[in-house]
Amino acid sequence: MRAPRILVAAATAMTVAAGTACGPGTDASAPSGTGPGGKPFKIDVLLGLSGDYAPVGKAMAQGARAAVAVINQQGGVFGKPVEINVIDTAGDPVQAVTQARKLVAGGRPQAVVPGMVTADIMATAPLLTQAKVFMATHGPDPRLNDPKKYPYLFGTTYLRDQMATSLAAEFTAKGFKKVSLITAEKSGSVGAQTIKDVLAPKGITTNIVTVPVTAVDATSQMQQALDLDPDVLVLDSYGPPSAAILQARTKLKPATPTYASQNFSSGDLAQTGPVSAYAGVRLQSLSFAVKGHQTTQTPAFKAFFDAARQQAGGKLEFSMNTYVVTYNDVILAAYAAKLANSTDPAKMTAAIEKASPAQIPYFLGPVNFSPSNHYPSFGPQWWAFTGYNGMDNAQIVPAQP
Amino acid sequence: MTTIWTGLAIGAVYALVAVGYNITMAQSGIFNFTQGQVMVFGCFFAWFTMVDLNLPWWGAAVAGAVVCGLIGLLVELLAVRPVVARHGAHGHALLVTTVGAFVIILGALAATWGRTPKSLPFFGGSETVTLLGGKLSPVDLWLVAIAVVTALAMHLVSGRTSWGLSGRAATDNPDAAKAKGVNVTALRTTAFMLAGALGGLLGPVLAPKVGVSVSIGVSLTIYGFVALALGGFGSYLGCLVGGAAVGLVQASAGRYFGAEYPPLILFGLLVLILLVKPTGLFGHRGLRVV
Repeated sequence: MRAPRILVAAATAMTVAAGTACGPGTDASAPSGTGPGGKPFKIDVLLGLSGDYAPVGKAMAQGARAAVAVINQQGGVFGKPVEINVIDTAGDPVQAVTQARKLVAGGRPQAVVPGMVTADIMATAPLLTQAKVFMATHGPDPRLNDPKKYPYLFGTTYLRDQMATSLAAEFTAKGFKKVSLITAEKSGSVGAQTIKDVLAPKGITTNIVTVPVTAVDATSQMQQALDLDPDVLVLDSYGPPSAAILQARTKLKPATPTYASQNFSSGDLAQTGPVSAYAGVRLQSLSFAVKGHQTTQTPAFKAFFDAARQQAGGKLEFSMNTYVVTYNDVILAAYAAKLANSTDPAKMTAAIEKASPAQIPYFLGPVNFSPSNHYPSFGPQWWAFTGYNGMDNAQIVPAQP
Repeated sequence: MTTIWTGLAIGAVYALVAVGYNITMAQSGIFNFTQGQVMVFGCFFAWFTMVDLNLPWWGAAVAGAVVCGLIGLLVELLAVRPVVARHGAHGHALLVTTVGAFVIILGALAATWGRTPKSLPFFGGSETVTLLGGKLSPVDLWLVAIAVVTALAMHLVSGRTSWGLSGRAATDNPDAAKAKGVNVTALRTTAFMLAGALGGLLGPVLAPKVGVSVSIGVSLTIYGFVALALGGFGSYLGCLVGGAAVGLVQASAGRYFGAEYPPLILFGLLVLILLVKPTGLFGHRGLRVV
């Protein structure tokens, strides 16, 4: 079901982009590009607040608003409070393109978070690039990290190969040579192939087993994954089949060491299975999603955590990543304007490309962008491997060794 | 042996969906497309009542039976009765309206509880059982037992009670049945309510097995239909055999060939059987939907 939607969205984006290219130049409607002394800095955020993924979209909006609260506590941008305008796309790439088109038609936006899921972002990014709009996005598709194609687009999250590199380092240290990886059919295949490609040069072979998204039982696939007698089993799915996969592991009780990748860990672990089902499973996770990890002891994380909880009414119900991604999007866009002292997208881009971590203190992650790399490189210190003992306010409570 | 147990457990799920289909087929000759989705509703409702309302499993089962029985009633009143009144019980319009009801239930579930999958622990525990050298979960054992008991019970009800026998008469020749005083409308309404109630009653056992997610509705609907078609329209024991066949093919093909192959093999088998015997292996001559 997903692929056709993506195709429709991509086709729509291409059509819109082509139409824009044939029309008047976007610079004609662009503002002067100078922020100070003008109106408050405004970030337009495209999210699915209705439709199938509305609860996730609303949690993401809370993350974005938490960022606004943190920035405004620090004096805002250009000496004025930052504003965000959350626009509902219903989680639909076609609607996301329509909304992006409306934004551009009303004069060039100062900064945009160009969508909620990869399909939205891939659809809106060409249109917004054409209109020379500064973008901050949590889209994990490596194709977005292309400064030549998307000069004003910056990523705020890890790319798939960085997650795989972290797994490769862990497996190399443990001496694992043969991996069986079980993931969701279709949706998980790209991520799984990335892991396979990153592990291969380390001398680690990967056998990929897929489970249909609509599966009611994954025992057969789990047996298939274990048949090759792997050194390590990796659970890599996200969404519906994760519970069936975990249930199958509980039933078969393999002695094989088991890891759950960040793809799996970023899902709703509490709903995927009871704590007992995770016995013997090492979770790979972004470090700030693990309770008590040193990266959660920084003032930046505490500012985020307090603001996010306040926005969410006291309790964070979704995974940490859900809130962090849009929080980081808004933080990066605001600091781009702040550091550039301008809303000119070229100046904002240049400011982020040479920014140091100290210059963007509230960004949760590494600040190491460059003219050739518009995504942060999450090195080993940003990854954690831990046992699971439940969730507490979107954080994984580590199991005692 | 683990693969066989797995297949029988999956097959039990599909057999129960097929029994639900068969109740309305046998009593009114109508294929109720919503049955798989009503069972998904039963899973969500069991999760809601057991996790949010802290009801015991049996309380959740009874409440689920009542609520899903009412959903069955609404489907009959709103999506079936007006169409039957205008076009009779065998027109294509019924397929369209019951598919419409399927989509409405799906939308209501997604809007109420979202698309994020949820899980419900089985009240009977999760400790793996080893039986004849194969591993299975307690919920697998329960499901196989429930499927056998339900199919046998419905087989007896359909063949030995006036309600069941009247249903057969009404399905074979509604006009003749009406002339003999059979209330065909009441038979159809009670059948839809019973099928719905079955879906709700099973929620506390089905949800721990299949999960609580809108994405499983399509699987239950399609493979439940395949189980019914293989086993035979109108035959409750056929549902059991058809369900087991579907489950065993899914489990063994999934293990030895990969996730892409079970649907190919199953639908190939279905086409083959329907070409040779259009009513399915144990089906009644008067009942066909394909």
